[in-house]
Amino acid sequence: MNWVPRWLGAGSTVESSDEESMRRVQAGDDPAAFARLVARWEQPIRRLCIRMTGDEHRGEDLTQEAFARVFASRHQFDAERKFSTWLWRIALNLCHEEARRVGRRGERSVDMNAADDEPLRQAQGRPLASPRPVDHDEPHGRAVRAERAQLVRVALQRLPEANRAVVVLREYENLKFREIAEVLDVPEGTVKWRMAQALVQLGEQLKPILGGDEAMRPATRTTKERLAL
Amino acid sequence: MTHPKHEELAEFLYEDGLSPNRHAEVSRHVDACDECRALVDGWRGVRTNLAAWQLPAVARMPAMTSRSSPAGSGLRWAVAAAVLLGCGFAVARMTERPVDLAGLRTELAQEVRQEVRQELVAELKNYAVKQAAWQEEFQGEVVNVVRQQAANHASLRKDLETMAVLTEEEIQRLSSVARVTPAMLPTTEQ
Repeated sequence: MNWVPRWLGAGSTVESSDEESMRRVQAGDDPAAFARLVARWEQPIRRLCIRMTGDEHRGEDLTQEAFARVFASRHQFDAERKFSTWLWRIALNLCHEEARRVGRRGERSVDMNAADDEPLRQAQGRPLASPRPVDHDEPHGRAVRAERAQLVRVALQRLPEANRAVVVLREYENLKFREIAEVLDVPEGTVKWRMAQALVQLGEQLKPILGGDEAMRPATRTTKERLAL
Repeated sequence: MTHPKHEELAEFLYEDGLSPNRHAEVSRHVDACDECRALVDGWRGVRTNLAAWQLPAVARMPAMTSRSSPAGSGLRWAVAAAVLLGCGFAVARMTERPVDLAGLRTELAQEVRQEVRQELVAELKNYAVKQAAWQEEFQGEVVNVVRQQAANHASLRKDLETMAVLTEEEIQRLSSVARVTPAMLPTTEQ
């Protein structure tokens, strides 16, 4: 937070809670309060939007829109509720709206073009993971890692939106099932059921690369040692 | 053997939600049951692969953390200004409420409103000019139609009058023919 100028109040040693910051945003008596919320939540919301849309640019746009919506509807925030729950919900709603918009237009995301499915299709017929341990610092390791990331991105986009939201919030944002249930406004049992269903679906999608976990571990030998063998 | 539900296996996998006793029971079951162990192992593999998709954070420049660096200070202000401008722009787009944030955001919102107003006025003027031209053209068309109808009417009347005169003449001719009786006709020799 020390990158924000002192007059914004970020230099204050007293860290206020999100709810307190939001109360100040509502009251309009602290111009720095909104900047604090943005600084604190920008990255998590950005990650959520990117993973929900599978598109970095759309994710960035949705992040900005989410904070704009937070500010525009600041008076609707119930100070008795948790700010993060409200914010996650706003961001997820925007992602859903975006998905519906894209679906209506029959578009695919900028990053999700037909070529993206190609690695997954190719991977159906061969083991993707390298049989040897991968050194993540060498070009081959980076390539394998990038290919896996691409496969995961495609597999996530193929999940139903409701399941994808649960996976993203639990796996990447480390929310508890109970918290996810609050965000999605569904029973906790539903969240766990969706999580299990998503894991089964992802298991099917990622079957070509499952079992290649060895390649995900850091290399136990250096490149020089392997060459010497 | 009763298998745990998938929901419970998910709780077990994430260590989230199961009581310690139940967690121990599920753990023992997974160790003993090939089917459940395979499922949980598969899910662990999925989790390992999900971790492959990491997003780099938008880098906060290290120089910004150093208050002693003039460049860092400049960048700090630049980033703060960018944040404020971004917020102001977004707010101006999302709400018509008066923006209560000071400085640049208010100024930016006013500029945006001014530009929108100017564009709107220009569009309205353009529309008014087009509508006037269209109205004039429409009136001209109406006048032409009325004139054409009047000409058609005059022509029809003339035709009717001609027809009336000719009919009158023919009636008179037929009347004169009708007045000639057969006795007046010359007799023919048998």
